[in-house]
Amino acid sequence: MLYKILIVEDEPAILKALTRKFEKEKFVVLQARDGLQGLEMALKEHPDIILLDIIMPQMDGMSMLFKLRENAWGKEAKIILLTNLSDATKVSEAARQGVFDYLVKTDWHIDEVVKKVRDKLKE
Amino acid sequence: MFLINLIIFLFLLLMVLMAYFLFKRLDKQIEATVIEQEKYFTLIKNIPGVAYRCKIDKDWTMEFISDPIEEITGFKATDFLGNKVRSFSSIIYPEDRQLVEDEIKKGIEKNENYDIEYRLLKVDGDLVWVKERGRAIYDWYGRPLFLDGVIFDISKDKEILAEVRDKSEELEKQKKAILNILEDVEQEKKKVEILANDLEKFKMAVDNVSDHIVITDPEGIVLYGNKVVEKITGYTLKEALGRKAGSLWRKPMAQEYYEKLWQTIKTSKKPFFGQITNVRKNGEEYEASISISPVLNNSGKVIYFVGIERDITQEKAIDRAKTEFVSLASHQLRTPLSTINWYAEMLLNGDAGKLQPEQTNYLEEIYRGNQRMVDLVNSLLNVSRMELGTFVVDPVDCDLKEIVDEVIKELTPRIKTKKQKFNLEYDVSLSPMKLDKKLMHMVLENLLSNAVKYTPEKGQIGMLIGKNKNNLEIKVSDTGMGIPFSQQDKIFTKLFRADNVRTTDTEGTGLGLYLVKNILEHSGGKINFVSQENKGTTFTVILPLSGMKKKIGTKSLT
Repeated sequence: MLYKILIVEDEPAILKALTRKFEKEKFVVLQARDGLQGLEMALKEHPDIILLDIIMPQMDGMSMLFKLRENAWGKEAKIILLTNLSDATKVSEAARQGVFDYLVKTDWHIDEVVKKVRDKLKE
Repeated sequence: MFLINLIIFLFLLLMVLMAYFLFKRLDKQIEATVIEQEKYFTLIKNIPGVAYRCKIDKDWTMEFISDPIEEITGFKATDFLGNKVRSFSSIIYPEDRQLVEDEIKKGIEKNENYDIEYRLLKVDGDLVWVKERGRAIYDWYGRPLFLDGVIFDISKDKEILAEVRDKSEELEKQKKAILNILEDVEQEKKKVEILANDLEKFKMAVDNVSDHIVITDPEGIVLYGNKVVEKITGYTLKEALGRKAGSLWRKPMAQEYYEKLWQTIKTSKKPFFGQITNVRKNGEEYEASISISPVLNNSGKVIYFVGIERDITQEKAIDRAKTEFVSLASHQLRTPLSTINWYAEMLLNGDAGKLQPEQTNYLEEIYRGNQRMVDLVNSLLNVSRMELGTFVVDPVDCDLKEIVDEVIKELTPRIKTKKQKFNLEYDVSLSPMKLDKKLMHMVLENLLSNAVKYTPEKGQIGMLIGKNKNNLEIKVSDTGMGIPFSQQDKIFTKLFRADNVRTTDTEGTGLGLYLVKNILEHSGGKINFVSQENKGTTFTVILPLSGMKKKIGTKSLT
């Protein structure tokens, strides 16, 4: 079966890299450029997993996360925070929203991102 | 005839009468003379000295000498009359006889009074000082007949005089001494004036510098404060003097801080340097860098402390801005670095088609270069987080062995490439402890990768992990190039790299050990090392057996 992944990322180059990678891995990739778009798409498409950037224009990742958690489907959605920040306060806030997975983009190989996503999907 | 007879009779009568009256008068005269004489005797007796009349001969033969001579000499006055028992000359002290003779002779010749002071021999053999004043009595022809005079005992006066002389000599000496002292004082005064001028200059300098300067006694009680103290703290010197230094404006710090401070300045007698937060009188807080130095006397006892403080709020703000800039810049750098990273990776994975070997090779260089940049940016970010004090130490129960194994696994390929011998000794009795996994990983990874990096091929790397008293002790040793002795004190300084590694390895950032030290110091640990150039280095990390101390912050290190 094909997994549906939503990537919410404002940086085009990163978004493109991840999209290409996951398409290669036979994912159905949905893209969003900010939190607002991401939220809308998530609620409409109900992806299997969401890769969520934190720092974004319009609505940042954290706000989107909070909004999502208010939704019945969104409450249980699988989310991996994707960030350049290893921001402890944000991470602990996210943890309170049931998101324990986050990865710092520079610290990970792109293959490992895929692996992490697959692991998460298996949970 | 009758007439003649009568005349004769009358004449005779007249003669008889005349004789009668004459005798009568003479009698009266004698009587008067005796009375007069007695009067003189009484007078003479009563004068406080010896009266005399003597002949002018070598013996000074006494015609008369009054009784007080006995009081003075112990010899009876009658002894001298007509030299009956002894002559007066015989009791004049032999050394003075000539003087007496000469002076009297002079007086006689000039018909003047003579005054002589000389010594008489007493009956008991002692000497007595006397003063004699007299004058010669001459006859009708001007020939000297006698000497009349008086002699006084002046031994008392002499004593007094001697005493006075002694006193005056003493006084003279004292005067000289005082003069000497005065002279010294004058010289000292000049010196003091020079010194005072210097002191005045110093005081002016100290008063007018831009740093807050306080001098205290060994208990820390303020004895002096310069003008800046008032300006910076807002308290007047009147308020500060006599109080414990800083008690007015110091924001309370941890007990340990003060213990370390006093230990340094009072026990070790070394200057203390630190940073501290103070509160102005108006309640405003400010950051101050402080240095407190003990002033010792010759025997090494603390007599004063000199405390210098500088308001570094501004500098701190600038420093913070700089750190924030570094943080922001590194942060901004990370997104493009991630992009390069991932695209290079995808290309290398053949996601965009198979590459030619040379293309792969070039791409690997790009990837490696980029990875170095990522490491550098990560380190800079960590440093800035450290300096902003925003990083977190979040220890959780864990097994150190797992972290150690992870680090070793990461570095094994490099150890193998360099054909180094690696030896791990791990005390299995170590129980799980509270560790921030990421930070502990960072510490071990830095130390071990340094050991590998700075040890030549076929060298030896060792890791020894065990207990030492109540502490966890981790030793990372190598047989590498070592740290030059002259640079050992700088090895934990930010961006510092020792000369010997700078030339052989261009990749280091000079941030690793700085980070390690900071992590350990913020989590209750310590690090030290021994090193010898071209022999090797051993770093020792010490942590309580219970593990790391928690530190609240906003950012974790990466």
